[in-house]
Amino acid sequence: MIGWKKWVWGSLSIPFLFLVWTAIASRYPDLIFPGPLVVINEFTVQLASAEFYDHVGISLYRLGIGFSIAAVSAFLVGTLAGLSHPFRLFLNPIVSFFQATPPMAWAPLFILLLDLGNAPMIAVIVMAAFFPILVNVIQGMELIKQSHIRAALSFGANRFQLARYVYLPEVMPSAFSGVIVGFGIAWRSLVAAEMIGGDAGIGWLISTSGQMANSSLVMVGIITIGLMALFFELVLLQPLKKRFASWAPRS
Amino acid sequence: MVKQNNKLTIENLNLSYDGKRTIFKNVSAHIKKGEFVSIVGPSGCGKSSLLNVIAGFVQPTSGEIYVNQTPVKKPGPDRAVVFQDLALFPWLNVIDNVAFGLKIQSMDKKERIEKSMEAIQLVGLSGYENASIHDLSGGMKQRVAIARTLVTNPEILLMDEPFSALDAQTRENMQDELMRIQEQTGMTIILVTHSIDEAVYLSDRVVVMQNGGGEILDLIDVSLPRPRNLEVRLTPAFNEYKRQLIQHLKEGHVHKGEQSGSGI
Ligand SMILES: Nc1ncnc2c1ncn2[C@@H]1O[C@H](COP(=O)(O)OP(=O)(O)OP(=O)(O)O)[C@@H](O)[C@H]1O
Ligand SMILES: [Mg+2]
Repeated sequence: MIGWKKWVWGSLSIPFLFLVWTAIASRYPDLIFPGPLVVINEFTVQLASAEFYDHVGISLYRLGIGFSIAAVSAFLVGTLAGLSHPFRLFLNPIVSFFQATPPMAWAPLFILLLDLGNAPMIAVIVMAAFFPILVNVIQGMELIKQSHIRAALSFGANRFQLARYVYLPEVMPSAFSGVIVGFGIAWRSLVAAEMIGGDAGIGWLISTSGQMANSSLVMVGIITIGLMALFFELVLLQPLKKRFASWAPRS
Repeated sequence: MVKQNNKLTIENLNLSYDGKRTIFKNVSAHIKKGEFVSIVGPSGCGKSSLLNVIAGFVQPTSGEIYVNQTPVKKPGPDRAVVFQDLALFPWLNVIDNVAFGLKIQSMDKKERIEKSMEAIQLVGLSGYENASIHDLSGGMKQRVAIARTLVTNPEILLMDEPFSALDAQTRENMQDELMRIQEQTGMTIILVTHSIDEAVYLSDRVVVMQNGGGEILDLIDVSLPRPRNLEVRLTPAFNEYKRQLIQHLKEGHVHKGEQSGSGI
């Protein structure tokens, strides 16, 4: 399909969503399920309040720290696993186990261990993002072509050059798939963790608003989460992926 | 014995991957500078294995390899390799692929680009410097792979069925191109091929490997005059060489008793 046609079809979903939302909201009082206008109104109020930015900021801070720790350590461990078959075998059961458990489920334990505050939330993010990135980095290492390594060696490449000029670029597409999947899981887990055991953050804002029957603030929180995820995906991750992994046939 | 004027000397190479099955046995070879040697033989007889041992990717069970009378154990820039799957780096464009070896050798960027441009021109790819590897045809990828090896001025070029994926017309063009490049550079070339025709057309010597423990390599000297062109293919002499080669391949010829190893 031609570019603008795609764009038209895609953007049709926004008015559609608003229509459905308005239709459902019209059957309930605003206090229970507010319509778009009420929520937009609440949104402008929130955008003018410093407290709202505090919550967004604290969630972002947790995400930034936790996701960086997860990405860097998953990359290192994944690289080692890619180089060592025994280490890969050793990791297999651990990875399977942790991938099968929802990261959220660890939140109560982390809160007990680390107290309320940033630490347990960051731990949940690390837990959520580490394994998907790790799995993809390992997979990427396994996909590295033997002939690429041999070609570099026959030009006289040393270990460092081999890592820098063959392993790193060749593992990028897989690693980025992991980063994007891991990011989605981490962001959702963070919000959920803040809801059950937070003391601040977007998730906490939503759950306290719910308890105080402030439905429009709940909706504002949900929309903020969605818009922020969209923003990261479109502005940060996809362009980075395009820059470092666009050569891969299916990426 | 390591002869003084040999470019590449192979002495009593033996290879077994698992310690049980012999891939080849007592292979020896003396290859002079500028010589073009082809290796033919049935699938699975160990041609790629032999090439990989010479390149230094696979360690032989026993035996020695010398380049210019110096023993070599590891891969190195003196023996450039054109891989069967070409092994181009898809994340780099044409010129960066060609310049890869020079980058590894820490040549500065300006010189690197200059040399790579020359090599790209030599293989007839001028104008495609910034093309992405994905967008090239099979023949063009082949040229990039050759340019990438030429740019580092290797003394020896090892090629593993580099033309097998090409159509007949492109293949003949590439063969002529390869001969032209060898004339210009004086490289020593070892080519693994399944094509009898290609082996006779390009080579000074053709080595026939046999299946099953690879005891003996038969050897055929091709003394057709150079420079060669397509018309050589129509001469009786050319066809006589082909007939001989086919005969050797069919018979699974083994000179038992003549010698205990195989000499090239
Ligand atoms: N890395 C390896 N480990 C174990 N066995 C191997 C390895 N590489 C090749 N072999 C075996 O060695 C034998 C020779 O293989 P090789 O690839 O050298 O044959 P070839 O003559 O190049 O065949 P083809 O013409 O099909 O490319 C085969 O039986 C193959 O299974
Ligand atoms: Mg082979």
